[in-house]
Amino acid sequence: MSAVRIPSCVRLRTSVRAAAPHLLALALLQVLLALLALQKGQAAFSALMSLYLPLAAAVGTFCIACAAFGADLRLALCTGVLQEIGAALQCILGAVSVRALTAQLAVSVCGALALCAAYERWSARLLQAPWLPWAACGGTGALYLALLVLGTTVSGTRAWLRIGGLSVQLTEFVKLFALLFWALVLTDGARSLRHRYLLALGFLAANAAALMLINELGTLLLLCLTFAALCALTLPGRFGLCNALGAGGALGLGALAAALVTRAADAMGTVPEGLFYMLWRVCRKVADRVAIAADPGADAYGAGYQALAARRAVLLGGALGSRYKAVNVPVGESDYVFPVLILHMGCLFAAAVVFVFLLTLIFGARGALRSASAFEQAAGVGCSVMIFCSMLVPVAGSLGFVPMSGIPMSFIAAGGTAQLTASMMVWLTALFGASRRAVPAPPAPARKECAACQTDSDFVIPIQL
Amino acid sequence: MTRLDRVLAVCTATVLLLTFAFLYTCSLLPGLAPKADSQKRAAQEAARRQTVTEGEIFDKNGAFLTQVEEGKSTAVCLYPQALSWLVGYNDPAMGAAGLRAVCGSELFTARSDGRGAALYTTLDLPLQLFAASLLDGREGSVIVLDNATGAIRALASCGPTAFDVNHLSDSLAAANQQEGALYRRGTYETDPPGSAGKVITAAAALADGIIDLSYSDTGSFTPLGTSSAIHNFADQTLGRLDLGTALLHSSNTYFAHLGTLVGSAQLAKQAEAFLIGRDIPLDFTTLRSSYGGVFATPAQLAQAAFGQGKLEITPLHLAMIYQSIAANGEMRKPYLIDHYVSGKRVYGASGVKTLARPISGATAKKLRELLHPVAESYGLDEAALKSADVPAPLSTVWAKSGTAQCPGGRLHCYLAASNSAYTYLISINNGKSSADLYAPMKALITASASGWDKK
Repeated sequence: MSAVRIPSCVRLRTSVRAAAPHLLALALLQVLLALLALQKGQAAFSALMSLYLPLAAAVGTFCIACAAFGADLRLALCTGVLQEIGAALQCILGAVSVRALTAQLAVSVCGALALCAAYERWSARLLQAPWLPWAACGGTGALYLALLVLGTTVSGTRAWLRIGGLSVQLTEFVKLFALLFWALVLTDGARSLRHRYLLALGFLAANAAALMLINELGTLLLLCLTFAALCALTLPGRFGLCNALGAGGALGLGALAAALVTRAADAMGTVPEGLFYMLWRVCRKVADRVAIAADPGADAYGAGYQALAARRAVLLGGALGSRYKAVNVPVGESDYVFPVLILHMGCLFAAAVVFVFLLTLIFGARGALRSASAFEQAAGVGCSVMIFCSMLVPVAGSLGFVPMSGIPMSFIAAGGTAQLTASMMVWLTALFGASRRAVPAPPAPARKECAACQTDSDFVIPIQL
Repeated sequence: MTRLDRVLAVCTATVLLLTFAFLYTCSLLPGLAPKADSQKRAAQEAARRQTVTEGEIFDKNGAFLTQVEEGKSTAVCLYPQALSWLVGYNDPAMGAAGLRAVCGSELFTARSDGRGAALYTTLDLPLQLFAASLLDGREGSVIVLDNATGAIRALASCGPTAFDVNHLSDSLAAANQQEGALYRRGTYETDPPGSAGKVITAAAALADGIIDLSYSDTGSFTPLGTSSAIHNFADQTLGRLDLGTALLHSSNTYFAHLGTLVGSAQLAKQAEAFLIGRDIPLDFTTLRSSYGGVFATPAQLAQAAFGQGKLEITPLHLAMIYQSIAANGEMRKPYLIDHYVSGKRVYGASGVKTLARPISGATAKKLRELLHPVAESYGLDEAALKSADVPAPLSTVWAKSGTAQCPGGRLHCYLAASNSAYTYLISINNGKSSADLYAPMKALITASASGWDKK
């Protein structure tokens, strides 16, 4: 297998020229954002100016890399737009220092580059290995074990690991392992459809149990949505329908069970230890979130305070942001970043962000389909869906349409680990759809077709989605 | 269309729906969503207010009722037990009530110094504090009106739950647990006035020329067309009565009979003269009352004539009726807001207004003559008051008590009294007997004397 070749200077110049319009657009956006930050105050403007070059380097690197490898530049443009808006918002909020933001950008670019390089180097061999899905399972298990043993609890959720002075949200990497496992399993032509579905579902169930144990329900929601989308896209007609019905039925049963558990626990007065306590805690959290979404005013100074502050922020934002400084939305740099985006940058910017996420999904999914590998197609689509859902759920939650969950909005919310994993996903998706890869996409594994396998489905390589 | 196209179409539709929903929610286009527009205005007002130092509220002598602490922008109510229901609150999440709601545009609009205007009320703080102490946790109100001007010198309220505007969330949470806890006693609740309302019938009779009806009280009176008899309190038989002795002994049968003689039209006319059945907008609230519109049957007429039936008024309105008796027939408009001060500018002075002239001066004088012995029977005689250092003009008192039967078996006890300077009303919404109010009334009249000295 040949190693990744670094583009030559000529190729680099060609790539820069090809990416020039996109780089120019991103530069103009940075100027616009700088003017907006100037309106917000000297501190915001200075912070954004300090971040100007690192940000330009980060988004420029992705654009040039996409141009060099023949990936969809529109995906790079969308990602760049989101990163620039996210950085500008964090500078306006001032909750994260410029140094930390610069470090996050650097780590995300380097991490994504490293992953892409490693993928190019070793994917052809590794994807043939039958133990790879189980390695993904093992990796996921190791992450959960590390969280249970060494993890840090924040607001009742044990999703962080402190390494030195850094806090790493390990559940973000669970998403990557999940995408890897599902893409491998759901596109494995050697297994029957039922087997693929059950394996994928079993992995989801195991993650669900572990995530409930650490009380991280936002990631669980994201995994469920991505799983449903992948099954709907990769499984043939009736399996996809069964999946949807099964998911809906499971959701309904789960809600009923949650209500029964909560009511039983309240009737008992005290909650016993052990498994029942874990179930009760999860159900209580869901019930509280639903109650807050339904009527935040019922506990205006307690559980509903954040939701009410978020609503006030949405009302005050106007078209291009407001000057109201007295509105404080707790955790506005991460969980409630969308209302804060509206408050400081206005509804037009917020609507633009939502549409850019949609475009990221479209360009990412369609780009991934250009790959000759079923695995890459599924993984690329999965990454695009996950990034899209990381916008959809927080936006709907912070506007009060659905119960709020603590999912960080990719590229917009503060969080180094979220930034890193989102960059990895986007870079990989772009790589899968690249036309001038150093190493061609790995072929499908040469396995004897399973007699029970459906042949009228989407698992004929390349995937017909 | 491939499956991916379908999924992307669903995602696009979801995004369009979400975007429209949040543009609708954030009221970007005025007029598209009236509810969102009003929420936006409220949020803008709340956010603007947070940049303003709240204007402070004072009593008539300049004593602080609310005060802004150093470095803060919101004022603290200094006497929450006595003033919470009057001062109220103005909170983005909880809403607004009381003076802080009514005067919000002045208190929370920044002037040149970044502060809201200062509000001077008509309250007499020592009298207000004393009035609140008289309630002693009982559900009810204590009102003191200035007869000459209608200024409210005291308006103390107490509900079934403790209400402290400095701890608003807890107070409202506690109040929400109990039905009927979330309104100010004295200006909102409408109950029959009981025997305290007999002055209305007496005024109607005097106006109709029935100066001195003599009646033999046998302990019960059955109006025409009904088999339900009206009885006196404790089923007393009071014998031969005239208007004066009937008021003194608070004979229900006498007044029921008097009401039938006065007639439905005349009694209704007198009730309307006292503004019963009309909304009375004041500078801090609106008073509501009713008497049912017309006394359709003799039974209804008889019931209303002794202060029951469909006759329902607020305690403040009842105090206004007695104030008009004390002020020779002129019913003044009660007011709480005296003026605003912003920098060197003084503005917003309410001024004295006359709402109505429900009775003539002669009728008022006659009623005072009739009510003076009643006051003496309550221990509010001149000698007793003078011995408590109440100066001469204030020691001549006219009074009437009442115990109204309300739905659910509840008794609403009143004691209304007036002297030449003030009208007083003590109202206990869930009391046992109006006789329990004699001593507190004497203490209230005594306490007001010191305020009268400084007037």
